[in-house]
Amino acid sequence: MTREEVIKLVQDSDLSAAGKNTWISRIREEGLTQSLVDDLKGVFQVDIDAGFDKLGIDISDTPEYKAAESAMVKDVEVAKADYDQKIAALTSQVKQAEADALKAVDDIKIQAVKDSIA
Amino acid sequence: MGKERVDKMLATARDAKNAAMTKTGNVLGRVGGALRDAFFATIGGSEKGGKAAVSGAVEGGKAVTQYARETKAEVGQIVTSGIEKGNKLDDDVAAFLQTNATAGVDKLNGFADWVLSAEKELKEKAPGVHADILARAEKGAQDVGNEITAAVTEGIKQFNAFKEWAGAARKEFAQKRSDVHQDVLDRAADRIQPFANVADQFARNVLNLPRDVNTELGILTAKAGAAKDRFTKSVNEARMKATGTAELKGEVLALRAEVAKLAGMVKAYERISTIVPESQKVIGDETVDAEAETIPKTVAK
Repeated sequence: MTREEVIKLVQDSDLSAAGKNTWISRIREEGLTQSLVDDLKGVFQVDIDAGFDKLGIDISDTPEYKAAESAMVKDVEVAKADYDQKIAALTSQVKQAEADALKAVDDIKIQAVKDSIA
Repeated sequence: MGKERVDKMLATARDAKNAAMTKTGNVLGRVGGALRDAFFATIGGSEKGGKAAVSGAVEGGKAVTQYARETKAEVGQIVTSGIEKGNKLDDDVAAFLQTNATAGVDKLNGFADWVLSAEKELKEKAPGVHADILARAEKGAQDVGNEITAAVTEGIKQFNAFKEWAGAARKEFAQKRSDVHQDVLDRAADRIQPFANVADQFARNVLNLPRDVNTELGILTAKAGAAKDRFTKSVNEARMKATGTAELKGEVLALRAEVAKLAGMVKAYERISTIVPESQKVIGDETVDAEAETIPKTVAK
């Protein structure tokens, strides 16, 4: 979607007039950043949740809801495990780089002592 | 609750990122300190020199220049000392000449005194031999004069030889001074190079880490966002189905407009979910643009 298409979507929505103006300004100033898209989805979902609450529809105890929730948690757990592994590898890399650098410094000092004796 | 669990996982991911950053900062500090200390210990120099060892070639160049400047001053001192030594030799030669000349004059005066004394004695004791003695005395005086002349000539010869040597020496100093300067620069660069190598290697291994960590967190955040989206969409769909069932039962007919409005909002949410951010090509996999400014913003949330 282009900026103009998103602005039209906001204009055609059931958001309040003030809310529409705020969002249209943000879209024009910031562009379609990840942060803005996340915030915009959040605003729509708050209205959606309120609408379903008003209708008295609650599916949180249904197997379908629990399956969807479980799938979300599993997906994030897998992503988090991958992230943890990569962070651990990067941290280990820093530790190794520190050890290598300190050894190289020691070698320089040793060589300097040898040179001073020779 | 699933959403809370997801948020908690993302919070611990941000903590892990911060811990990795802190660890990197500490490592940078330790290695930088070790490099600086080693630089001071093996080469000496100034604080500028210490920083030079850490930050590599550019600052290292300044340290080389500083080191060369100090050593150049030493070379200059050696040259000055050589010239002073030469000047002292000038003085020595002058003193040598003075000593010889004085000795010659003293000798001449002594001889003159002896001649006068001898003449007086001869006049008294042997008047007939007077003329012969006088002739011999004149010859003696001539010999002494020749000795003095020879001594002075020799002194002048030595002085000129020294002057020639001193001139050549000064020329040689001037010639060698620039050679020594370059040699000092080369040797200083050789000594600093190992520090620059260590700093460069270390920088290559470590300095990209903050960016790598940020990228990983950006990827995780994008994946979590996609998972949340899938969840929200399926929950909304299930709710809409439930709404339809309720409507058929005639329990919420009065709220038909509200249902239609909700359906529009759900559809709008789904359309927003398809937006590809302008600075991020692909969401949710390894191809997230590492340069994207949206990643730090996402991280900061």
